[in-house]
Amino acid sequence: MKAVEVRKLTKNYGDLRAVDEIDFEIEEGEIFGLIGPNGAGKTTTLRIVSTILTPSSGEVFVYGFELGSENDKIREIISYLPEEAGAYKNLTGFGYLDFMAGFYAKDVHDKGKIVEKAIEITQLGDRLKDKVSTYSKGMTRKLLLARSLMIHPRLAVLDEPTGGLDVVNSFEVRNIIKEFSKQGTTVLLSSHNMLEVEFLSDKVALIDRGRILEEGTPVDLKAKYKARNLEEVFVEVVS
Amino acid sequence: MNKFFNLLKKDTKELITVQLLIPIIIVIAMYSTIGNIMGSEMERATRPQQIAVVDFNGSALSNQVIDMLEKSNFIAVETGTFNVEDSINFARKKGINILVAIPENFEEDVVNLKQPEVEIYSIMKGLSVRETGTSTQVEAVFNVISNAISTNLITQKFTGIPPDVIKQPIKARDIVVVKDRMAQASPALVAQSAMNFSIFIPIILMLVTITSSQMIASLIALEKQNKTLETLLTVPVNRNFILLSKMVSAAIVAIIVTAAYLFAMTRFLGISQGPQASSDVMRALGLTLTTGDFLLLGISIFFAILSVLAVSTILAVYSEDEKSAQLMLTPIMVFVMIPYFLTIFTDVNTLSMPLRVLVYAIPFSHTFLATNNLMFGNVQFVIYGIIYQIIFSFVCILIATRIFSSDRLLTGRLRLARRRV
Ligand SMILES: Nc1ncnc2c1ncn2[C@@H]1O[C@H](COP(=O)(O)OP(=O)(O)O)[C@@H](O)[C@H]1O
Ligand SMILES: [Mg+2]
Repeated sequence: MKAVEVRKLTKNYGDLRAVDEIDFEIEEGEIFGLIGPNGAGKTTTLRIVSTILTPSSGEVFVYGFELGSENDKIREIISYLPEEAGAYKNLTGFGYLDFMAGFYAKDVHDKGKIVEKAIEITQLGDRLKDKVSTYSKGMTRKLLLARSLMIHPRLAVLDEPTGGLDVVNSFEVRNIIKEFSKQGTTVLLSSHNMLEVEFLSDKVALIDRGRILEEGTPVDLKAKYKARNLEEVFVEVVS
Repeated sequence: MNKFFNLLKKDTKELITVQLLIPIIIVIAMYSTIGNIMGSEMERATRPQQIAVVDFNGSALSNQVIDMLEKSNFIAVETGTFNVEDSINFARKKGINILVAIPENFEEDVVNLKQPEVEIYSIMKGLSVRETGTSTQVEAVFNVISNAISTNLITQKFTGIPPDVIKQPIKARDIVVVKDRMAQASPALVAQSAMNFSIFIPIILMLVTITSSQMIASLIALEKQNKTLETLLTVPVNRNFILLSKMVSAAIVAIIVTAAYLFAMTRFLGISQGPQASSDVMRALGLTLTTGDFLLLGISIFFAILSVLAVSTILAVYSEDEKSAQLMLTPIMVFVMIPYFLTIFTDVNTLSMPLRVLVYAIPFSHTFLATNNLMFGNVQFVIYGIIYQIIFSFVCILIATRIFSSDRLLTGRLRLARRRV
């Protein structure tokens, strides 16, 4: 079974077509990178796959569940890290993880295990006892990433997971994602940082102005366009 | 249901913040201070008041007048000089505000019906509430003196007739009529006894509706402001639970806040102390609420809260942060204040037709008007109001749940912002 199937997906905001009949498929366990400049339609696509926007037309299946009619089932097995996400300001980091775990855990014991996993991912230690409002951007991002991975989702949808982070924090976040992928989580991520995606992804799709222009493994794409990196591929494809 | 309580716990926690508690604490502290000051002023006012007296006449009548003052809760202090200026200085030194000067030919003029002038000096030190209290004392002093002399004159001229009969040759008997019932009582007393209902219930309603509205708007706007909404919407929980949890916790916190204000008002300002003896009168007039009436009132309040929550939700969805959400609520504030002031200051039935339609179209109006209508037996009217409120809240909740399961929850603000540019 495919982890994600997207067919002729289109999204209009009024007169503006943000996503224009895109198709792509993601294999189970794969890290799939959607790359393109700002305003290309990445966030819109990820929001649709994550069930929070309804497509104007087209079909999406997540592990065989149909988007629209089976959203409840999809929400059980995915987790979404929004591009610009925050946590409840007057909860502690721990309180936030506990609250979010409450939606997935079967019982108290199960919840404890989920939160424990998150604590391990964040590596924030005692700072988790502090209010989220006192966290730095990097800490918040790690908290949120931990929140999305702690439940071992079958599909993790990560919108610009390293967006706005410094080198060290980005490095750590990328390693966490890699680690989880090895444990079997399928990852759909977006980035406008093409070098980062090249390092992280098994497969990439180049998106611009709502259309997917090219798709393949980083190695194949570089070979096809005789480029040294994906940035050069993108420039070639667009021109 | 577990997931629902998980949400409810979080939402309630989010509302109970320092920003919420500080104004409540300040208001309660303010009420308690005002209450203390008013209490001690009241106590001072009922204590016997010292007044300075300079008696230029020294007759039997002037002595009788001073006696009368003493009997009427004043302590008359003779200044010991026969000079007004010195007497004023004397009073000032003793901290006395009022000086009464009885003129030289006082008794003679009274006997000859020449209306002698008694000078009453009010020695003012400022313009505080305490000073304004002096004016009522001056009036009291004058009344005591005048009364004493007129009693004296009447006894002299009409021997054998009780002076009170001459002063008040008729007596009034007040009878209040309500519908087919009547009872012996003054209309002022009846109005005062109805205070609990006519003042308190509107205040409770106003506080509860406005606070509920602010609370739910905060909850929704904070999800946007803190950028937590997107995540919450991908969580495996029924969207209606997300909305319901916000409504319930907003209502709970609003009720707690209202209770706190109400406690402060009754405890410290003593507003609720209506005359107790009049409850028989109220019962005789049928101006009491039966258990059934209270039930209807409760239902009406419930649906007023429900409709304010639903409307506020719809408005808050279109705001980007907490501040703009509070701005969005302005129309709700207006629509709550209109029936609030109307019920306090006028009778809706005296308004012109279009205004009356407007008032009845506001769902909260029916709750504000319910107490009066129930007391005066217009039960049918209250029931129609409740039916309207049920339909109104049902429609609004339907719209709110639709919004909660649509893109608009997420894109509402963006679209507005886009249209502006
Ligand atoms: N809620 C919205 N309403 C209207 N237009 C939107 C909305 N969200 C995004 N857009 C527009 O859709 C296009 C794609 O945006 P987005 O998916 O956020 O791109 P990306 O994530 O690749 O930067 C952009 O032109 C953006 O302005
Ligand atoms: Mg984006």
